[in-house]
This record gives sequence, structure tokens and C-alpha cells, in this order.
Amino acid sequence: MSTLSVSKAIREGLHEEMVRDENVIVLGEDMAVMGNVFAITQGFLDEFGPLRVIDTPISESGFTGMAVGMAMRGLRPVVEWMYDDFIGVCLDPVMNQAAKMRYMTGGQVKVPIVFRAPIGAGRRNAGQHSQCLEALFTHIPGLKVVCPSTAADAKGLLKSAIRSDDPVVFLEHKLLYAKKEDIPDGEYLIPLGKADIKRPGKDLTIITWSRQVYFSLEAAETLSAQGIDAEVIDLRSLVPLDWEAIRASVQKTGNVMVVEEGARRGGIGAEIAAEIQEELFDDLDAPVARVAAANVVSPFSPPLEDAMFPHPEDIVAAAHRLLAK
Amino acid sequence: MATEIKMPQLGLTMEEGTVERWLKSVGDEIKAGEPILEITTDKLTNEVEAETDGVLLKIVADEGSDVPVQGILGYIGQPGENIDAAGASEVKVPAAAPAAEAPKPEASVITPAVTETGKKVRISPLARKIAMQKGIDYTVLKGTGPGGRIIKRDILAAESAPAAAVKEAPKAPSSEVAPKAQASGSMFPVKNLELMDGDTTEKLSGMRKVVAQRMYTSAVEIPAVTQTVKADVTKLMALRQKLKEEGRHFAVNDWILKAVAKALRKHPEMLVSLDGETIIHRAHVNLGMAVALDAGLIVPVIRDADTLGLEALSAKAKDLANRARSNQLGSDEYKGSTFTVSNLGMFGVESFSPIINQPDAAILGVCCTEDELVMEDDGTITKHQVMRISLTFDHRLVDGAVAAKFEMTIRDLLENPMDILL
Amino acid sequence: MATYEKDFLLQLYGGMVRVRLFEEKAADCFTKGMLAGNIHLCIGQEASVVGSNAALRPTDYITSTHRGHGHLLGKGADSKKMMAELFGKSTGYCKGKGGSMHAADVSLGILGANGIVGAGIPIATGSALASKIKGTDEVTLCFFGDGASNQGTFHESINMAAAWKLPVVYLCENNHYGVSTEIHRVTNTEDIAVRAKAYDIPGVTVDGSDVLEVYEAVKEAVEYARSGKGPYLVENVVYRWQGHYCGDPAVYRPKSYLEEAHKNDPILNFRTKLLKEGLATEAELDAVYKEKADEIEAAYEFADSSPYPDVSEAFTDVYCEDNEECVAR
Repeated sequence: MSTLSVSKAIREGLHEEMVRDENVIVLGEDMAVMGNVFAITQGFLDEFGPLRVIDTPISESGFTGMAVGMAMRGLRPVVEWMYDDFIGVCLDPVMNQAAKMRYMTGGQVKVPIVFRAPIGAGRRNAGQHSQCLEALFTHIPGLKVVCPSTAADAKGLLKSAIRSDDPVVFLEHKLLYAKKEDIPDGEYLIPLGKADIKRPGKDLTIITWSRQVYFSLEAAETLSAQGIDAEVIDLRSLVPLDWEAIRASVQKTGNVMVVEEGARRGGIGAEIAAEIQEELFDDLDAPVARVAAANVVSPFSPPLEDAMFPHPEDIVAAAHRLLAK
Repeated sequence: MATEIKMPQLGLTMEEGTVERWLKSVGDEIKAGEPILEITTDKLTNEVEAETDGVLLKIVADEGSDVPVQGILGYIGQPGENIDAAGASEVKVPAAAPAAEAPKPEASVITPAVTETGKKVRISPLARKIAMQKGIDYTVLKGTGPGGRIIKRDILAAESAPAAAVKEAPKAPSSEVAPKAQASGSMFPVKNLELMDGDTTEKLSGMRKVVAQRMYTSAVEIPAVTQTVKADVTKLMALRQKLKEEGRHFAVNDWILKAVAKALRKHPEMLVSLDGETIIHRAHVNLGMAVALDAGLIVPVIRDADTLGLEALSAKAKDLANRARSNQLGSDEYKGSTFTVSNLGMFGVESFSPIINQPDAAILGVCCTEDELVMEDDGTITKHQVMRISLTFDHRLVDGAVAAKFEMTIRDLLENPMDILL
Repeated sequence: MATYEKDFLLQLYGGMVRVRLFEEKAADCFTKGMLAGNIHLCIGQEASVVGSNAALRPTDYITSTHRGHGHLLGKGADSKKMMAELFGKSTGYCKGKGGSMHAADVSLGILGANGIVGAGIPIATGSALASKIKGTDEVTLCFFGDGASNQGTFHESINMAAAWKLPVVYLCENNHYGVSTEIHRVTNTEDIAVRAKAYDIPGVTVDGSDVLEVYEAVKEAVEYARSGKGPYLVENVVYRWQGHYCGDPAVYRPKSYLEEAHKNDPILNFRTKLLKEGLATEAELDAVYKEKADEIEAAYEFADSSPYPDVSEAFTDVYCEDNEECVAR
């Protein structure tokens, strides 16, 4: 066991993969000389050289599209968007090219790209630098979507994402980067599509991912003191989704809540709630609850921002409503 | 394209039927309109007729199985036709259909989220599932979930404290809908009884099941008292004989029905029903008349019996009994009783305590006529004919003295038959 | 002209005839209702697609566009599999899952047609970057039209390729119209190649209806790129005989455009020249024509008689791994 911050764990995972496979190429803004704004690639330029650690111009559409061509030529690009919000200027290569190329060519090609991007509110970055856009990506067939919460997961999942032959959108919460946690020693992988039960419980299932895992665990402690035993599931990856973990938990507790930091309308919670109702209706003791960000733009002013996305007390309150306790 | 044979809806309240007997075998040729199988519902046996010509391709529901209304019983099609190719989209009711994701039939059978008074029950799917597994009648429970929804904990609470659950929201199921279960655990507990040499088993189904459910519910729910009085029917028998000789034949039961109808008009306190904490005072004298059938028991209803003359009443009773025995009652004809008469006199029964036909508050058991020696006022001994009548009543609604007075009115009428006719 | 091998000249002629006949057959089938969806034809642009491809090695790469049948055939695509793909049949290049706008044969270095205008430009640039990273000498030839030259991807990609000296040739087929919009109504410069100056790379405008002129220009550009000097922009001025799509009456164009187009018929003009300069006989050219006509007829027969894909095929190839789970929910 060693203790690493989430950003260092990501760095370590990326580093291991670059050492292991020379086809792994990092490109994005400020990745080489600066070593990334979160120091993810610090020192990489010296170690791997400018053809494997590439500083791009501020041309997200161009370099994201280039990654598709690189991947079709057998490389495994790891692209970084400085914020997931920037998908607004480069969605076409992700949505229409990377996600669809294998299918449209009848399976001729693989497009092994990892698109990394920080997500999330709480850093007072205002409207264009605070979004959680997981739902945007999960809506696009052909993409895998991964959202780690812990340092150990971030490393193990990133390594699996890089080795995946499919395009993977890898979303890292910017307020978790500094979080220090234990990670296993040596090489390890965490498969995509396997949820992690962070806390077992029998009264209520809280399905969540990314930073909201911590908020949910905090809420679960509060609820525990009030006699409500909540199970917290960290999905870790949204596509593929660990449906069996969800099913088992729902069948155990009968009460479900999906907690996410993205906007409520059309969110992952809506999707999971719909799946549960279709598949597990007779196991439900209450309608599936959603705790999500309000359908508003991320405000700048701290009290405003705090009011728009879920915090532990929101989860606790939602649990009380759900269980009528 | 194969055509489905579906469980028909026979009457508004029918939810399921039992396949009694297939009249055709797989491979048999069938003409449209021809009976293919017999089904029994809670009340009746009916034949299901083919809608189209063809061959019986497949039997989905075997004899003895309970199938929800519109559930698939089988398929008619052309010889050699593949039923699966008929398309899953054709199979609109998944309950008994062969589709892979079809819910278990019970799921459809046991989902009346509506009480018998028509009020919608708010219950979570999980709570409903558990209630059904445990045989708990959730319609009587009070929910503690959001907005009063019945949730899992309410069912579990009801299971461990049945009395409390019932007390919170008592109710009197109507005769229209068979109560599904009682709040105090399973109505039909499995005891794993040992089978002894020669024993056979059959499925509790159809009419037998409904009778079982209704008798159980009534017996468990109602604090019932039975009081028996004796009536001297010598004059009645003489009058009956006289009229018979004139060619006007009335059964003893006709006289009794008429007397009871008349007595009920005089004692409206007997014409009550209980629904929750509400007492319903019934406006009509609708006499239920228990008719024994091979398959069980059915209670056709003579509406407004008090308004019918003896002749009309007799004709009505005879007609209903005949049609009950030949399975030809309409679904409205065994609903809505406000008082019931059960006559076992023809079997020589001297006294019995009938079980109340809910939601009635009382039932009159009619026993056999016997000869009795009576010392007259002048000291002579003469032979009289007497008959016992046993009134079982719901002591929640009717007290002993009230019931006794009602019985005395009947007795007086029977002893003075001309008063019955007046 | 006499400096070229006769076989090469006949090959160019045959290549152009093959593309034209393929397009005409496709149009015929489309008009008869045998093809679903939509097709975009390159009739009139055969010199550009054949001459450009002739300058490539088999190991080189191309990216193409929505008007891509010719680009792919020019790079050596099998006309049977191409036609079958247009028909949506299981024997098509993409098992019928891509259709006209997404045909590809990666084994031939064809990185796909593309339905999004300008989307192929960064893909080609990425392919060139891959060559550079791998240290190999394949060049990527990037086809696009005058319409795509106004997409951000054009500018972003050329800028990066120029900065990093990537082995890519940007080949703009300027047929003057982006769907219905004439290029000068939305663009200030007379030609497209002048934009090369902005990125300090070579740019040249050539007569895209002259197959040899195209060949020479692209050959120079490819050699330049292969030698490590960086990208090159070639603008082939061409004529799109049909409307934007098959069946488009193209009422937005003046009559003079089509007159000019027919005057510049790349196949007829090349044939006339070959005959005039005595480099081939009528009989030889007719034999080539007949051979191509037979090939296209066979391609049609193949496509028409091929089965549609099994419906289950709709649910495969979305993902390489965990396809079923990822498709399910």
C-alpha cells in the first residue's frame, strides 16, 4: 500500500501504460512542457519525447479528430480536454467519428482512444468550467464512459481504459485530484463495468459515482445514526453499466436513490430509474428518487453554486422523503 | 398467423378463470363457434368457443390451471404452423403467454389495487408482492409511506400483528369480489399433510376456492351468534296441502322466503352491512337463496323479495335455482343480497349454524319439519308439525334480543300462514 | 504526354471510365428505387479522383468525403463490394452498415468516406501524425471539397500539420458549390490554394479535369510530404455534373456551369488527346471501356443478388468489448 493523490494515481497509471506500450500517445493542451495543469504528465516529455507527449494548439476539434486518425492507424491516443465543458467545440470527432467508426465500417476498425477530462462543480469556475456532462456521453452509442472516485480506481480504471479497443470518455472530478488515498502496490487493473459496493446496507440503495460517492457515504453515516442503513454503490463506469450490482442491491433494499452532480433533466439518474422501473418494478417499495444538480447554469458566487448541486444534507433529506421516516 | 384462445371476461368482476376441461386435443380440427374447452370462474362453468376455423395447435393452459382474464389458453391455426412465428407482438397479454419475459401468472391475478368499494389502494410494488406471497389482504391496511402508500414495513407489521392491522381499517367485502386473503396470515396454509394409502389430491380452484375463501373470511371476521327457535307449521302444511290440491303448488321454502321478506320489512335493523366504521342500512330486501351444486355453492338473489307475491316469488326462486344448477345465471343474479336463507330441511337437518354470506348481517338456516306430540289446552294429545329456524347474525351489528324478536316475527308468520299471504 | 508509358495512360483512362460507369450505374439503380437513402455522385470529377490516387503508393492512406465513390475506387476499392455497400447488402464493404457515405477498406489504406463535411481532415492529419510517430514514410492524401475548406477543422488541421511537418497532402476538389452555395458567395479569395500561404506551406491550383495535370501536381505534393517537408495543399478545380445528390435538379446553378462542365469532360478530352497524339487506338480504348463496363455490370449483378444482412447484424460492432452489455443499457 502506498498513499497517492488521485491526480498522482492517474499519472502513475498513464505512466505505466506509456512504458508498457509505445503506441500510447498523450496529446492535448499544455501536456508536454508544462506537464498538464494538474501535473498529470509532469516529466513525461523528458522521458517519452515530443512525439509521444504532444502539446497541441488550442484546437480541440482538430486534435480530437486527429486522435481518431491516429487510432485508426494503430496508435492508442490519450487525449485530454482541459475541461469536459470544452466538448462543445469538439463533439463531432467524438460523437460522429470515434463512436461510430467501427460500426459504420462494419467492424473493420478499432478506435482505441481515451478522452480524459476534468469535470465537476465546487471550484467556483462558473458556467463554462463546472459541468458534469456524463449523460451527454452515455447517450452516444459507441462510447464507454468511466467516472472514477478513488485514487486506486482512477489508476486501475485508466489502465483498463487505455487497453480497451473502444473509445472511452474518462471523466475525473477536479475536486478529487488532491484527495490522498491508499492504492495497491504494483501493477493492477480494474475492469470497466464493475461497480464497487462502498458500504453495504439493507434499507436503501444509493447509486452514485465520482465525487458524489463521498457525499453519499457521508450521508449514509448520518442516516445510520438515525437508524437508516444505506447501501452505497459506486458505479465507477456508466457504460458498461454494472446492472447486476444494481439489481442485487435493489432486490435487497427495495428503495433506491440515484445521486449525481450533473443536471437532473435527462441525467443518468433518469436513465437508471427508468431501467429499474422496467426491470425491477415488483421489487420497489417506493419510486426511484433522484438527487441531482438543478437544471440551471453553474453560478459563480459560492453560496449560489453550493445551492445548485447535491450535498450530503440533500441526500439525507431525500432519504427521509423516500422512506417516509 | 395462429389465433390465440384467451380467457374470456365473464362478468365485470372476473379476474381469473380455471381451465376445467379441454374438449379438444392438440391437432383436432375446429370450426368457428365450436366449444373448445370448459372454464370455471368463481361462480360458473362456461364453454369457450373457437373464434376461427383451424386446428388446435397448442394448449398453453393445462386443465386445473388458473389463468387471468385475457391470458392465453392455447392457439388455433393452420396445421404445421409455427406458433413462435406468430410473433411476440401478437401476444398482448404476457401473463400466460410463452414469451420469455412474461411475468408469472400470479402477478396478474393478484393485482387488484382497488378495494371492493372501488377506492384505489396506494401500495408499492414490493409491498404488494410480499403481501401476495404471505397471503395478506393489503386492501385493509393503512399505509405509512409517503402519501399513505402501503410499503413493505406495513405488510411486515400486519404479518406480525394481524389484529392491529384489521382493527385499523376493518371492512366488509362485498359478495361481488371474493376476498383475496385475510390479514392474519395465509388463508390456505400449507401443512404438508401426510398422504395415506389411496389418498388423492386435487387443486383448490374455481368455485370451491371461492367458497373456501368466502367462508373463511366470514368465519374469521364476524363474531357470529346462532339462535334457534321452533315454529309450529301445522297450519302452514295444511294450507300448503290444500292449495296443492287446488293445483297451486308452493314449496315450503317459498313460504319461508315470503315470511322472511315480510319479517325483514318489519325489522330493518336486520338489513345492515358494515364497511369500515360505517353501517349501511339497506333499502332493499334482496334475498339470497343458497343453492347447492355438485361443484360447490351459489347464492342467487331475489331482488326486492318483499314486493313479490307468493306466486311470483315462487316462480322466481324456482327459475333461479334451475338456472344456477345449469350454470346459466347472469353475473348480476348472484350479487347484491342483503339477507340470505339457507334451507337444509329437505336433508333432515334438525338444527345448524350457517355462516353469514357477507356483506349481509345475518343468515337464516331452515331445518326439517318434524312431527311432535302436543298437549292441547283441553288436555288432548295431538300431532303437530314443527320446524326449527336457526338465525346466525353478526353481533357487531345486531344484538341477541333484536335477533330474537326478528325470529319471533318469522315464527308468528309461519304459524299463521294466512298472515304471510296478507 | 509521350513521355508516359502507354500502359499508365490506358490505366488512367480505364480508371476514369470505371468511376464514371460505376456512378452512372449507381444513379440508374437509385432512380429505379433499388438503393435506399441518398448518394452523391462524382461524375465530372473523375480526373481528380483518378489522377490524385495515381500519385500514391499502395501503402499510402486516403480519407474521403460524402462524394467518395470515386476516391475509393481510385485507391483500388473492389467495385463489387462498393456496389453491394450502396445496396445495403451483407457482402458490402461495411456489411451494409455504412452505405454510400461510410464505405471504407482500411486494408487498402482507405480510412473511410465521411458524412460530416470537413471531418475527414483531422482524421487524415492524425494518420499523418501516426506515420511520423511510427517513423514510417506513408503519406496520407486528404480529399475534401470547397465547402469543407470553410470548416474549422480545415484550418486547425493544416495549422498543426504545418507546425509539425506532417506527411499529408490536402486535396481540395473545388467544384464551386457547397450543396447549392457558390463558393464566392461565402469566400473572399479567388481560389482555395491561396490559403496555404497563411500556414506557410506550398499551395497550387490545377485544372482538375486534366488527369495528367492532376497527377503531376499531386505527385509533387506527395513527394514533398514524404520527404518530411510537411503538408501541401493542392486545389483541383473540377465540375460536378450532377446536383448535390442524385436527383437534385440543381436549379441554383446557371446553365453556363454545365456547359463549362461538359466542355471539360475529363474522359472525353483525355480520349481525344490519346487518339490525336497516336498514343492509343480506338479499338484499344474501346476494349478498355468494354472491360470496365463488364466489371461494373458484374458489380451490379453481385450487389443485386447478394443477401441483405441478418437483422442481428444491427446490434454488433458497436463496441469491440462488452458489446452486448453496452448495447443493452
